[in-house]
Amino acid sequence: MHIPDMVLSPPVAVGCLALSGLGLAHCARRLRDAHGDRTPILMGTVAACVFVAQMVNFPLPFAPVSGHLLGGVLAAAIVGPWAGACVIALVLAVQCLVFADGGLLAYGANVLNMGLVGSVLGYAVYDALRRAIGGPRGVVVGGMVAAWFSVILAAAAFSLQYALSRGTADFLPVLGAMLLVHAAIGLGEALITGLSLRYLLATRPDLLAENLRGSDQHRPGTAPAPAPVPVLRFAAAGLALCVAVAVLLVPFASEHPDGFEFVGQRLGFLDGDETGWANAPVPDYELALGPLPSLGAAATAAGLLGTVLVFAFGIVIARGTLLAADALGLAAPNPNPNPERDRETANDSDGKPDVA
Amino acid sequence: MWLDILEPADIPDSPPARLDPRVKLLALLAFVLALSLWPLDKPRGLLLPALILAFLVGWAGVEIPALLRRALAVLPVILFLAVMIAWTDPRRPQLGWLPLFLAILAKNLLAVLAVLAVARVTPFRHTVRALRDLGLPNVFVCALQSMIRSVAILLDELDRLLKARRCRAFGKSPARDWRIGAGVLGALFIRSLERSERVHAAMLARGFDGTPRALEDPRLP
Repeated sequence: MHIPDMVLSPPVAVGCLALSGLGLAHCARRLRDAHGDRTPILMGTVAACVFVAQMVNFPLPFAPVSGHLLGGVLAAAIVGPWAGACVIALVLAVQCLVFADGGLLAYGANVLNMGLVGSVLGYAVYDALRRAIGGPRGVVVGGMVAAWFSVILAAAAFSLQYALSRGTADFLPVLGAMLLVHAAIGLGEALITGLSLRYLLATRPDLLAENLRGSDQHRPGTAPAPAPVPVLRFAAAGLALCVAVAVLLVPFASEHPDGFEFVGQRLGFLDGDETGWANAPVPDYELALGPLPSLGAAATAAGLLGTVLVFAFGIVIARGTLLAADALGLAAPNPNPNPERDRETANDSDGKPDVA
Repeated sequence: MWLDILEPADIPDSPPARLDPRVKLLALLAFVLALSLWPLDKPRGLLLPALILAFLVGWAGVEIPALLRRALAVLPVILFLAVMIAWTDPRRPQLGWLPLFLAILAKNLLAVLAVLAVARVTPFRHTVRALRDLGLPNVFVCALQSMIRSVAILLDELDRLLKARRCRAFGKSPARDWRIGAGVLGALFIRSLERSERVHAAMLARGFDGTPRALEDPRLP
């Protein structure tokens, strides 16, 4: 699954190197804030653990093949998303420089796909599900779903890079082939991640990321403060899921007319001139970009654009509603119905619960 | 296995092997970049880099069979992708599928052989040192050094865990039952996290302040 050398064109490879360099720099900065001078040792040891774990082959119960763990979501669940991405980058660096498993120029793309997209976005999915379901079951289910999605998203990212290298007419066939294979691989990854998380919960639940981070700021004698609901992480997870759905399922959407259109054509009231007084920017969900000739690709692009636009509009409207409510003097509802938290915020100077 | 590959005990003592590791890394990068920029429809131009690589490999004293065996291990991925690229290339009708496939395969093989040859004559600690001199942040340098030392320890740990599992599992093994494998993985994670805390405390007690230090200096005087 590591991209070898002559697959991506040099501009795409160098661009991915630049992007992943920026991403890793950001991760390193976040790590230093979270773990201080323990960071390099922690990263190195967990990277060694992931490297060794990748050597162990498991038989997959549903197929006569053996899979091996990638480990992005598992590492992120234990040490956090930023450390998880750096850990994957370290493992990939050793594999690239010592074993030539993964091209030298393609290193940036590999880190981008498996470390940044796989680990960080996977952690967003894991965290959102973990909070939504709650408890140990949330951790395991969240971990499994996030692991599957991390593999799928990494494969989709590679398909995008491949299409940019070779000509975007190849995007959908490559995407289809990659996703088919990696959906099966993702199941193995999900299974292994879920079982490992369950084992960790049973033996050392204090080692999972939220607890690991909290222990650095824990002052003896006080109860650890329950964290506020991180809106940004929910949003990132939701966006990742919507993008995955848009990219995966939209090309397979049926081209038959939907119910209303069918009735309209039958009864004749949809036969008239459909041009209104203004032209829609993306008529009938077909984004007419030059290098995307096929209908499926156009639909996918339109679906992606629509998802992002709806998401942006949703944020704007939500923020606008909150601002309007504040202006009109209506109290904002408490997003965290935790009695301990309420008691704490009652002593805050402004009395409002803070939402991250 | 790990230590033999990372820190080979019998590095051939030849001028290319004694080069500053920064020179080796940058030359490798330039070689791979030049290979990837070469157009696919002029495969005869690949003879020059192949000859240069063969000369350097011979001069450095790298053992050829071992080199080829390790290159073969990473071949399957590029085979599949090369088929896909050659099939969808717009020049396929006039050039034919096979020449394109062979050209991609040759380019990738040359790049892989170059990387493996450099890895054979460079102990990994020198490579890490070279990366640090070329500007890699200290966090990653220390993490790499910590990682390559921890892998050897963790491989021993994995051996012990698997042996204990075999003793208690009545014939089942991680190769046959995935539940056991996941338990081994989880135990490995726990032990490595605890070990990282102990190592960090020990390093702090000996004056570690985040900057990587080493006794030897592989740079040219």
